[in-house]
Amino acid sequence: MSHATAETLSAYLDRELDDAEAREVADHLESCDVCRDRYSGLQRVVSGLRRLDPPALPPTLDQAVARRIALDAERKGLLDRFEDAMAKVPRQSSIFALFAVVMALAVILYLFSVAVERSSRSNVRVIFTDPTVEAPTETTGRTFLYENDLWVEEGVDAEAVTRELTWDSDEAQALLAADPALADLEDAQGMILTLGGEVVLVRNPSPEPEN
Amino acid sequence: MSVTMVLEGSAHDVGAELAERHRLGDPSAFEEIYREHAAMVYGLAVRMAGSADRAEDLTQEVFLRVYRHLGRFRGGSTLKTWLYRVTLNHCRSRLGRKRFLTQPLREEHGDEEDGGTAAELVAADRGPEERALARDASRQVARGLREVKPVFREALVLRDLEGLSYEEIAEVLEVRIGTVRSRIARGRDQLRVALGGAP
Repeated sequence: MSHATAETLSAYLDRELDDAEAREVADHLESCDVCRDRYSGLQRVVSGLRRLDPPALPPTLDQAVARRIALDAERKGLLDRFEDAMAKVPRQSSIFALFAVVMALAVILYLFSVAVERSSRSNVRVIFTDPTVEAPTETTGRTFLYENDLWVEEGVDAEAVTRELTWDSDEAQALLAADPALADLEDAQGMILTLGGEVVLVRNPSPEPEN
Repeated sequence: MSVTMVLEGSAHDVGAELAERHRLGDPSAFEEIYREHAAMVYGLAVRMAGSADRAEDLTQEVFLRVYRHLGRFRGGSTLKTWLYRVTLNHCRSRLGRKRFLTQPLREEHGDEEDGGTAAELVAADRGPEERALARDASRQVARGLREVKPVFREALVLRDLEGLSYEEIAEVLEVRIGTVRSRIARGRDQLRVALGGAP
């Protein structure tokens, strides 16, 4: 066995290798000083991390959470009462009805659970509607949805990839130069988007395996 | 209104039961969730935000979202997995996605990044010098953790601070186990370098 990769040693430390792999690593560590030193270093780092104590809860947190929820409930109560009032507006009172609709829209927009944030540093917008759903991201006219650690352009069939590129390739770098906001999508394994009429997978570069 | 207590059952059942009670207007359901998970949510927020002040705001916001959306939880995952996801999703959106996922965060308030730890307050059995050394070592590790790219830091925190298995982390982050393995390894390597190891 050549030197073990950092990923293998890390998984070995976590007992996440299968029996055969684990045995191979154990045997290698017995005979390789370099890997044994690296493994000891890894153990020290992980041990230091696992010794970190959980931060103490701030004494003000309980009340602050209760206050926020109470305020939210109060606002919702106001909205409910407003909607009830709207339902009672006579049809012939058109001006009042119009005013009521405008106010209701303003309140609904304020209370609606979809939050839209604009980053001041880039032209990426993050929109999320449900805490269990990964946030879709918009970048200069394209919308990407995060699925299975890939960013997939909305409307594109992830199964219809006809070509693969890596981020380091000239074509991918040209794409990035044309739309720098795409750099925000480097966190996943890659992205699937349309390019020149094709569905292309642009893979993020993997870490170099150690020798 | 009657409330049925489930004394035994899987983690999925307990979470679904709490959600059902919440839907029926039982305030004790949310209180139970808050009491049990506040420390986890706050701890995660501290490690991702790098600041106790920001973490407190984030935690309040997370629990507001939990309160609003708990009624929609149907038990597809465990409640704890769902809470991890809500917390991390919220941290990502509030801390800025690009900054959150690709750039390490800097300290915002000098050395008060953790707001103090519980163990420092109770380690009465150690001598003052020993306590000071342990405190320094912990601070270095905590500072080093903030140097780790957030996309790797998430996996590292879930593994080494929360004790989740690779499978559980994959479920929380909704990625493959191979991705979890890679992110943990890269996170540990970045931490090692941040603590003075050779790149």
